[in-house]
Amino acid sequence: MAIQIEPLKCINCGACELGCSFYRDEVFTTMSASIMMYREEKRNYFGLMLKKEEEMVLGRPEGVEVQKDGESSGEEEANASAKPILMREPCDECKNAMCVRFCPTGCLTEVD
Amino acid sequence: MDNMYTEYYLVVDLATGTAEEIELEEEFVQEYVGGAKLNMALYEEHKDGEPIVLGTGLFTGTLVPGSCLGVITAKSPVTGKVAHAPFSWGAGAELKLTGYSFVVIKNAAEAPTYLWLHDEIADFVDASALWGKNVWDAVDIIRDEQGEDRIQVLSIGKAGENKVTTAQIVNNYWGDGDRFGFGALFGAKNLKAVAMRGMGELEIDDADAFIEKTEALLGVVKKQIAGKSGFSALDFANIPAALKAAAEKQMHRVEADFNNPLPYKFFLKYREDPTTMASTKVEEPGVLVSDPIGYAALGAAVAPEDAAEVLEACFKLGLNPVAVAGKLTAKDKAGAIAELEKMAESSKADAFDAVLSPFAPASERAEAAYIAGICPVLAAAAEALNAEALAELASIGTGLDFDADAFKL
Repeated sequence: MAIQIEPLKCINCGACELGCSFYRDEVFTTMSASIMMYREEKRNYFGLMLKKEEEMVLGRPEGVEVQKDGESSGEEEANASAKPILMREPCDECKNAMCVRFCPTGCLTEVD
Repeated sequence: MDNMYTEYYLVVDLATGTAEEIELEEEFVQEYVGGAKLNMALYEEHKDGEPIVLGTGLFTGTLVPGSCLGVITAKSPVTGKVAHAPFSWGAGAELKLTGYSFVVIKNAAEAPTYLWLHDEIADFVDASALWGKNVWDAVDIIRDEQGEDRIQVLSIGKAGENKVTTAQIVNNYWGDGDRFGFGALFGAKNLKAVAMRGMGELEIDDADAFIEKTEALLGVVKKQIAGKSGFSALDFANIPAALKAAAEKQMHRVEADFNNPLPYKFFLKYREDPTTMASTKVEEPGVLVSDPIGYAALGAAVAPEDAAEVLEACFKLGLNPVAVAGKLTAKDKAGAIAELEKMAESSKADAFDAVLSPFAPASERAEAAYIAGICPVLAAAAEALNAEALAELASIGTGLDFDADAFKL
């Protein structure tokens, strides 16, 4: 199952990060998730990044963008926020994903 | 403590520049649970050092709905009593993940200092260059200095530095319900800020049962808050119609605290088109209304369309908007902000009688939320977050035995 992001439903709560990290390590942390919030806090610009095998899915407020490995969005601040996720495991497209189950708004859904 | 909390808490002595890790014992958690209740026990134990206690609740940083809450406990210069104020957003969870579920800050530093908590390390950092900076600039400098924009910062502005009792501790850029003048206590301790970032992990006793119960609880909570966000979640704040109308014209997006399904905070833009969704070159387009009661108070004092910008000024100066709103005489934005600048140099909050910050409706559920580490605004809206339900989850998560009375102060 793949994860679909509807960025404007995101409220930046981070439940997806916590849920995915729990799925991986059975502890509460935010550090091992394949999905991660990013935020330019003073601008109230926020969204999600989902690391996949060979690409990164960026759920920005303007829309969803897929970047192949090695590509850059050209936006310095978003790129800086994205760095930590580059070291993480990619999404393994698990079924009944915890990121989806604990997302309170329906921003994340599972699709075939 | 093996589950839900970190192994240690921290006792910091600003006068000597030392920090001592102390084991957080299971018996202590069994007796005081956490949040405001455990903070109070630590306060009493270290009373001689005029402590400020920063603490987390049992569920802070977990998947339990609304698990964003941290609690500041100290003797209020406004009420003269030991009192508890919330810190939410991302800071509650971040404190626990630094490796310290509780931090007792004693005595005063000789020179301006900020405390940098990260990965079970406490650094005392020279804050001379930050002293005199407004809150927003101080947060930016700390994040640049420590190299991460997800660092959570509790800091003071000019008001706290000047030890006025209308001062408040600000959470990153946004005020967060400190009605007790705790900002003045930071100032008295020469403490500009506490910055936090952690890579910690919290273990659970019976993880499968905990997740099952938590997911079911989230389902019920979602039904109880269905349709609520922004204004519709804020009946208790008594936001007048004229202020709502002004805010609707500036409305950007609603937003939530860490793992909070209730997005009651909202961002207002007044320096660019509020419908702008892209990141632009406007660095400070507006303000997050993180304190709706403060916003409502300012809206009664100045023109409704100016209230958001005056709230921004309060946050930058580290002033409690509820305490200063009634003292404003100017109705125009520029005049009001000029008055706030003066209040940050010298002003006194009116005394009131409360122990929990009147930031959300007072109730038994609010009391339980302050112990559990749950957002009190969510707890007010969701009956499912009651002491009985929290006690059951606490027992599953820790392997200890809690009843509903444990979640009473």
